[in-house]
Amino acid sequence: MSDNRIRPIIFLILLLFLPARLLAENIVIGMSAAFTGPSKGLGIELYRGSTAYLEHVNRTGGIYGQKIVIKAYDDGYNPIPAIRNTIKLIEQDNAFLLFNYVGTPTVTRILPLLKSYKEKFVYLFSPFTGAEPLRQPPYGEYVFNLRASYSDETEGLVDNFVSAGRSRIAVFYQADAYGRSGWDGVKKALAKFGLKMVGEATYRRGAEHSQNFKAQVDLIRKSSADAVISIGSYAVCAAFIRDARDAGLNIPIANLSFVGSESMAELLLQSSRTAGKDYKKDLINSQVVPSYQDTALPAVQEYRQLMRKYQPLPPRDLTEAGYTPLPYSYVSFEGFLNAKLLVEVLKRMGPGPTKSRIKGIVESMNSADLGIDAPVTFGPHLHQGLDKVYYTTMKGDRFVPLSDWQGWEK
Amino acid sequence: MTRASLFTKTLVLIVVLFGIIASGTSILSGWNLYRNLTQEYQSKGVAIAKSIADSSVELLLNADVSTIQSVVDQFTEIEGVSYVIVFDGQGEAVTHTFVPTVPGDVLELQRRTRTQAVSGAAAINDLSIEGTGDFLDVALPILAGVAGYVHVGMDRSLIRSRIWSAVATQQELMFVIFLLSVLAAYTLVNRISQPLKQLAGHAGKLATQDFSEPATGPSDIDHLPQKSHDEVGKLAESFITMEIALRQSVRELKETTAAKERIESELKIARDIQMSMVPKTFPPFPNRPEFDLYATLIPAREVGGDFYDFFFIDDNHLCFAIGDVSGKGIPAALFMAVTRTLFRTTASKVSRPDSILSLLNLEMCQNNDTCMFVTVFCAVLDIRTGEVEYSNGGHNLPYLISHGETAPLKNTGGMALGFTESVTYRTEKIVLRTGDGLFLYTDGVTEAMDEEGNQFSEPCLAEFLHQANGSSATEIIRGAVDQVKNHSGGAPQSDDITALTLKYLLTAGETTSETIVVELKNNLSEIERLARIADDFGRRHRLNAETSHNVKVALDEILTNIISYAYDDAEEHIIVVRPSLDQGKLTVEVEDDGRPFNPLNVPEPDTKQLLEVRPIGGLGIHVVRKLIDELEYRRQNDKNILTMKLKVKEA
Repeated sequence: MSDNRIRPIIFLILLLFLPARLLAENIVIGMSAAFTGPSKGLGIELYRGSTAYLEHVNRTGGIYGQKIVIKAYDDGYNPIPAIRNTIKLIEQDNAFLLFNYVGTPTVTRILPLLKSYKEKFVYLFSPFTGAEPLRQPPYGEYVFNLRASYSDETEGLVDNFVSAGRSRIAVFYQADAYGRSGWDGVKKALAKFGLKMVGEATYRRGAEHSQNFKAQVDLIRKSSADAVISIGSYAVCAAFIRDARDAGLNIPIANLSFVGSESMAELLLQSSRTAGKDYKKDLINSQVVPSYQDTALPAVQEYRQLMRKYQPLPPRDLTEAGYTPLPYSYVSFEGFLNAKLLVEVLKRMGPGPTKSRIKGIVESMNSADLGIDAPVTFGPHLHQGLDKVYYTTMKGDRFVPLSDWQGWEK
Repeated sequence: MTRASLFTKTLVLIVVLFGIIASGTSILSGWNLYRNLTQEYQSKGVAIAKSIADSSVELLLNADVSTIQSVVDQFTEIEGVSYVIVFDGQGEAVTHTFVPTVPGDVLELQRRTRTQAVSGAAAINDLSIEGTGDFLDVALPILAGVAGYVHVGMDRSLIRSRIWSAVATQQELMFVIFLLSVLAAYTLVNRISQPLKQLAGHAGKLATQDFSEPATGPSDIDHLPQKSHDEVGKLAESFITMEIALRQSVRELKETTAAKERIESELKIARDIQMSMVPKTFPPFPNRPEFDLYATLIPAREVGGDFYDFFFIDDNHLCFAIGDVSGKGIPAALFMAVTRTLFRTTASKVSRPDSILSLLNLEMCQNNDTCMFVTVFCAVLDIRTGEVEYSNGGHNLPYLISHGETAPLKNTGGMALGFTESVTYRTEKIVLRTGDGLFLYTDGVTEAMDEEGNQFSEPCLAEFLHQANGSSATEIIRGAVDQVKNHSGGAPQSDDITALTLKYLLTAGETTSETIVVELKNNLSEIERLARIADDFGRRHRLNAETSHNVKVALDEILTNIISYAYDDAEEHIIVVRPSLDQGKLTVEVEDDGRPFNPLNVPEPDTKQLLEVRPIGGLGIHVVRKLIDELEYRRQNDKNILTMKLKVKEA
């Protein structure tokens, strides 16, 4: 045999004997999210926040020498692509775990997959949704949530509204599992006070900001509500706010953390400018992560620093043209925190992590500190790390923390 | 309205038929599809509702609505599912897919469903939501209604659009098939109608064809029987056969017509011949003014079986006859010719009517193979005296028209001629006076029928003749013929019409003259003989009774006188009496050779004298003077010649 032929053969033989971890340089984590469509802001920002931290980690030695790489696919906030992407991530890309999925309809549809891939120990980390199915049996055991749930968020909003004397609460929600989830949260929260929802209106997922929601506005106005809780995407919520104000409905409107506040604020600003009206008043957005302006928090500092440093971009092959990345956003901060959690988990697993051990490691996490002055605790029956809800309102051009509800007291 | 062509008719039929089929099948299939789809939908809806209901039990009881929502959302992706709504045990909607909100109709339906008895089976209702559309609502209880209800709304408009698209597809298909079949029909019908058109064209030209000539060349449809092996070919074949037969028929007809024309022209000639057999020139004897004769013969066909004839046997005797052959047409005409010829030859042999008929009969019975017979009336007129002797052989007795009276002659009892040899014919005699007429006729006159079959009849003829008294023979004949024609009207002439009228015009003595010489012995018994001769003379010349009587008395007187007193001796003497009639004047000459005596010298008797006193014999002369117009006496050659003249009065 000639020399040329011998080399590749030796290389192959050596390959077989090299330890696995020398080959598996990267820990691949799979992400299927909305990088296109009306909710593209969520996927993109989440991704950016996560990659800012992961970049930092990779550059500082990685996880015991291994780099963490996000393998991202776009599902456009639609369940079927999400399922396809998930299967691909598991079967083809050999993802170590799934991470940063966006949306209730999408995530709830891939939950059964997680169960069916039980043997492969596929876990989903910190999906960007506060829905209940991922927190409850039968699928809750395959998901590790960081953020507080929609129940937590809606409960908080309802409590505050009721305290402020606004007990006629109407719900404007997306006609799907996400909307239903929020709707249910409001219903249960009101039931605590022996109250009932006075009105409701739905919209179809995928509606555009340019559409008008006058019908829904009318329905809510007819119910004589004195507060509205919106469970929708930022584009639609912004449009709803615009149409509500145009119709003279000036009651406070609350949104959940799912709306990317920054994205929503931008749309509202545009609308205000176009129409010459102020659409920014009387808005409350609940959040599941602290404000990125709260620089007292170490994580906030770290986030701001790393965002500035790495200026993370959305994944090239996934994003449409015309998206302006936000310098800071609640969503990217959440992505940042999600990455911090992940790294913490991986670190606790030691070198050569194996999927079968993920569950045990996470469930043993007790009061882990991510630098947000809120301990993260998991347990065998607790797959939600945080439960704190933060409130913001719009002042000027952006959402700022809200602590005082007096302005809306009746 | 122009006759629609076969093609147009077929096309219209196909269009109509297709229209019916298309609409029929569309309606039927549309209806069927609707029913089936509805059923499908119902079962689909029921299946979905059932699966949701079954899977919702735990979820509902676990109160995780967003999971139910995501499950439910999956179902709305199924084609035809418009909405899903799940109600909990308290009847509150916990999950739905409605935008912007749950319609009141659905809530109402749920309330109704809830109140109905729970059976476990799906409740299917038609639901019409204003502004949204029509749906099929399938409601299923979850856990027998304890856990709640699920409603699945199936979109009816989908069914409708499916049906419409199916129907539309079907119609398109139908249309394509229709076009194809029209094309096929067009081709097929064309293939049929082409030969038909050829046939029709050919048939149209038939009318103008001259079938008397042989065919000028191959017919334009000769190829059809070979080309079309169907009914069209058969029809063409029939046409061709028919034409050949037609040509044949026309040819035969031509021959027959030619033959017929030949016969007709021969018949015409025969008619002419026959007509020339009867005397046709009138007046026939212009130089014999003693009588007026006219006759006519109108055959029923070209030639007939009637005849009449008249001719002079001698200067003073006119024979005239009329006859009727049994039958009509050519046979009768030929027989008539034979009869008439035999009649003439017979009349030249014998002159008495009964003899004529007897002889004629004998002749005709011989060689009468056809057993035809002829009725004949035959008469002979003595022109001088007006006597008519006649004999009848089975013919209609002629009418005698005399001074206003009309009556048939007395029969002589003879049978028709040609029948049998053993027939006796007798003669009767009548005397015609001036102005009398005889009307001879055949039964074609009296038996002429009108359109209803009523005959002219003898009474009518008699009536006419009665009124025709005084007319000329021509007028009578023509009048009679007119009467018959009027009676017949439009009915065709069934028998030959023949009539002959003879009117006797001779006045007494006007044109006759006679002188006879009678020699008498001077014996009183001779006076009787003279009286008889005088009677005869008188009769011959149609002298009236008065004239005859006067003459007889005068002659009696004179002769008595002569015989008694003219002779001195007892010798036989001859007295010559010469009566002479000339120009209406009667002259009687009496010549005797006795003593000279002039009766004219005898003085007029004094009738005042008593009868015993008057001299004997003188009275007689006065009587003579009174009776006779002119009396003349002369003595010549020792003879007394007394001439008596008187004008005669006709009888």
